[in-house]
Amino acid sequence: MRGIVKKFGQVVANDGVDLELYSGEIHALLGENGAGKTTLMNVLNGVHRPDGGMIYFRGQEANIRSSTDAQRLGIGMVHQHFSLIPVFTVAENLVIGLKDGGTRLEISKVKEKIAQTAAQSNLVVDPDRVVKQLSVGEQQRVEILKLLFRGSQVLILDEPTSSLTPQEAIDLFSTLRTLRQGGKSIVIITHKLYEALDIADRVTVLRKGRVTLKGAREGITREALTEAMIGRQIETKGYERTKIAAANSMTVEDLAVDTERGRAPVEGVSLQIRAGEILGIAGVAGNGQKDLIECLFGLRPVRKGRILLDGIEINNLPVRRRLEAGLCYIPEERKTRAVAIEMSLMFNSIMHDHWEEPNVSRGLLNGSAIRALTKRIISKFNVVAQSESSQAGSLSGGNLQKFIVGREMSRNMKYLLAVNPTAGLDIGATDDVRRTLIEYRNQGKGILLLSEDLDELLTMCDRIVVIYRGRVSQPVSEESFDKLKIGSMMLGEGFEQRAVAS
Amino acid sequence: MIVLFKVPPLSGIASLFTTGFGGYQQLAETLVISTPLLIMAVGLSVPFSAKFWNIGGQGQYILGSLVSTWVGLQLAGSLPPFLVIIVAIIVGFAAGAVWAIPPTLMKLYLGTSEIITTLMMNFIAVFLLNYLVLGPMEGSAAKAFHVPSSAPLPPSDMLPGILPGTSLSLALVIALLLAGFMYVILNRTRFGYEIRLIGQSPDAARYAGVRINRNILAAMAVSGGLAGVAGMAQVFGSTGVLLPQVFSDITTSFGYVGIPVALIASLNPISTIISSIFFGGILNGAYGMELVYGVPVDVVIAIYGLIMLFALLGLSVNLRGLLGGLRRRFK
Amino acid sequence: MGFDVGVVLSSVLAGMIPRAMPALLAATGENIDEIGGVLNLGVEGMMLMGAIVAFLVDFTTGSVLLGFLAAGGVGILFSFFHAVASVTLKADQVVSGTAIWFIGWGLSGVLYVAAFGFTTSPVRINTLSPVSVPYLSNLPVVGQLIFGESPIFYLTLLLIAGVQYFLYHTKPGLNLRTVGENPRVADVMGVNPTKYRYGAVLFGGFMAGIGGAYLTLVIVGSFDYDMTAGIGFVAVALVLFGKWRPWRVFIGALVFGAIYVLYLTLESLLPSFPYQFLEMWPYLATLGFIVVVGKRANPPAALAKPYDKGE
Repeated sequence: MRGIVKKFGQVVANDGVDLELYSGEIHALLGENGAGKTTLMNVLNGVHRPDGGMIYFRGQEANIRSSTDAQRLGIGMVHQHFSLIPVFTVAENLVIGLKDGGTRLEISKVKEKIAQTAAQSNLVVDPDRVVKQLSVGEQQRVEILKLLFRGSQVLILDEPTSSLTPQEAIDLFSTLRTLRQGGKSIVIITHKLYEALDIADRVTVLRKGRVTLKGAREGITREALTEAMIGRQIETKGYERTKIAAANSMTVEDLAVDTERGRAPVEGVSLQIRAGEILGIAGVAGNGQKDLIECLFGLRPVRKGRILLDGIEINNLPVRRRLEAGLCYIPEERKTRAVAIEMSLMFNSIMHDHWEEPNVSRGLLNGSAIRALTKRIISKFNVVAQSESSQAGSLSGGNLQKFIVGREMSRNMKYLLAVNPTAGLDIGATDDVRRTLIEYRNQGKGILLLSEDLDELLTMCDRIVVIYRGRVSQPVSEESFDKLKIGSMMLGEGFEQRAVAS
Repeated sequence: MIVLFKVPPLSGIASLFTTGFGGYQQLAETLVISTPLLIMAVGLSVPFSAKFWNIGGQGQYILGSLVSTWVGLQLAGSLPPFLVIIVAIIVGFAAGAVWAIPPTLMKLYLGTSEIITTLMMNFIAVFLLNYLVLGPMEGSAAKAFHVPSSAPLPPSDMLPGILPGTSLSLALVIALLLAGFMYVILNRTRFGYEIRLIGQSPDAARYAGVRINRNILAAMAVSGGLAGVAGMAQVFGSTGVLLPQVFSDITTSFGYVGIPVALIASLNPISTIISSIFFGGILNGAYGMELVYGVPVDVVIAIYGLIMLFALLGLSVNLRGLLGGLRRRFK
Repeated sequence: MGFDVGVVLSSVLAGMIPRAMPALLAATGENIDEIGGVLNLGVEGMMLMGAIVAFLVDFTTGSVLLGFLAAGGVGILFSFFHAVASVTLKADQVVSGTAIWFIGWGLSGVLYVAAFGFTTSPVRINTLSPVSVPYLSNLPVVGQLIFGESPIFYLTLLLIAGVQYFLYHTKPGLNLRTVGENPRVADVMGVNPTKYRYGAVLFGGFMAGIGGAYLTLVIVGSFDYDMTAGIGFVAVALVLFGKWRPWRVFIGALVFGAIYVLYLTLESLLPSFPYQFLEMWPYLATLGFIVVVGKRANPPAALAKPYDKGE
């Protein structure tokens, strides 16, 4: 790819990017969130058409206008959010859109082909299972199989390890190495330095849409990569956390929560979110953490056990009362759950307070009070927005999240439940959000942080618990933070004994 | 279709408008038609703002007119007129609200499509009405002359006229007041906020502690109730009797016409005033078209549909999507 | 009881299929429509248009076949507008469908008056007579019922089998189902959601038109303003009831047809019973249908959601 330029309105996502990819190599495309890596690969994959630049494939100019064109050339991409239909079987998912002659759908032939392809690349998967029931790692295998099915020689993987356990990531990498033996070219888009160092043969680093570094991995140091990615040396010191001595806490005792069929029920959970402390929950997606948090917030009923806020039982309190009692929530999927994206910031600012003074006076919404509040949030939390009347959807991801965080912080807050608060944000916004969380921790608020980014947890939290199949481990304190140990706990180590005992 | 009747299209459309709006008398007639439309559409704006599609306005309207007329007939003579009217309004509201509740419950607790359930209630309501009007409630005069209708309300119990020489009644004032009142409710109260939030993002609403079921039930009760009041206003303000209905008769289908009236006004009760006058005028004009050119009144529902379609297309065409698509194609 | 159960039963069985047909035809079309992810509420209007067009064409040409084809054509035309609004312009499908309904409703009445003026008694044409399959139709009870129907019925059975096969045993069918579940995924995998959705909607329109034509050409023989009386929406309910599977929709339609005939039969047998309550019966039944399905419905995940490529 030479001189690729891609613009979205005013934003220049790719600014004259050059990238070379050889066969039989694993190439890491490195950069922080928002650097333009996914966009660049989407250009290669035919999803976007470049505003400038050329793509050469095997020495010849390639005009890739659609993903079908890319597919024809043998280029395929596995996105961060899988393109699978949950209610279809694996075999059905693999066949969608396949144009190999004939209109009849012959599942038996498909299954044969699956077995063949799987054998060649060590990807084991059961073709009759319904995708809904597969684990994330298995789903990813299906996605890769999809590409191989269509004869892809170039495989692009976007943040492949973001929802995998450390062990699954290792499995993935060994699969990739097998594929590399077979002559495939693989691009991994990642923001994790150590992944690039681990598996890549060659590296290209993007920052703000431009290439800042590229070459064979061997000659490059970690520091060089960091500087290329971020532009400065990262301050490896963590965030300032002052010691707080506080007695209050939000306590969970022996909690049991029902979950939907197919998911492990949450049982026997006990934990304590102390005022002035950040408690982290680590775990592979789908082990019940979201159900647990929904229960704490009031969106799921308690089957057994108690939830206490500052000593008062809140089991049966509806959501509104928990909000009033000082509980705050930053959900993931901010665009659909935390805001009404088509409404103004003013409308959104009172979402969790819309019945309270001074927003409401004498039964009617108080426009000037709401306006003042919104302005305060915007200025105090560095939200870049045209005005308080701007549509929430017009804000960038980072600014929207800053607004959401700011909104919660401006409330009467005692305890905060935060789910993946920095997901998808660029480093600037991520830093802002983290600093805000730490600041409020230092002021004596208690925070429960659920994050799929283990590194984030390790940096931010005072204590971490691990959730596995609906059960929660004992908390691990900061002094004993050990990434590998926690990683293996995420896979179930240490949980079996407890099950046997109870 | 205008061409079908060998009417020069331009003058056809022109006459539509002159009959609807030209002249003092015509304008008053238009307003008479617009009044129940306004009440209906104002009511619809509440559930519609929550993206809850109440297609059952017609049935709620019928129930309102039915029960309020019945009560009015029962109370005739035993209470002073203005009390009768007040009771009729209350009863009409209640009847419409009650009619709206079952399909709402079905959607909230059983997940069934509110579009279909509210619609089915309409048909049932029509049959109920016809049964009563042709049976137990049939007026003696009607029986004698074989013209189906209920017993008429005593003129003294009807809503007083406000402009001599026209058939405008107090109903118009009631309608305007309701429009203003609902505007405040939707935009300045907590209930209105929650309703709008539900429509914008049900997920965000849940996360904000909004009780979706309670709010939707309230919204539907209000909508059904207002539809019922519209029905009451039509009887107590204009016709004075209850008439049986045929499905496809557009001239009594306020419940259905209310839908585009509300949508075109972007669910804003104040804009609905203008929208209802517009639609009412077109209907009035359609009456004129029938007399002059022989085009059946039903053309008007087609016109409404076309208006809806054009409005819809107009709104969507402004989206970047189409422009972006064009740009891409011509790159 | 004041009537013979046997009489009732036999007339129900005899009449149930013809009465079920309009809803069945429209529902089969809407089924494909919704599997592709588009909700079409304008079915009612398209059926009315189909009815009037078929009537007019048959009246002028005397050909039932042309009548049906013309009706299907009108259905395609109307559904084309719905497709443009819903798929290309990504507008709200509920509003678009309702608009089409209104247009069909009004236009059909206008066309009738334009052709015949304001008549007091309806203009009549000959209805299509049923066809007897030789020998088989002589079987007792079942014979006349199953093998003595109008040819449309047999064609419809073939059609339903065809739809079933298409959806679950062909690649394009799988692609369509994908579009209805998640158009983005379909797009990424090389399936063009726009093309498929248009196809589905146009097919649905065609079937709705034919369904309306069936009403005039086979059942009633004349045109009346409120002929369809909500059957279009019953069709939508039937798709729900059948959980988007063609044969289940067929069963549902038969049940509905039986209920409808039951009401007609009882109406004639019990003249003193207020007929309006009987008239309500099919609508109450429809309510019952969807209540029965209730929360267990698993619609195509992307139903009624427009697909915006930029997202």
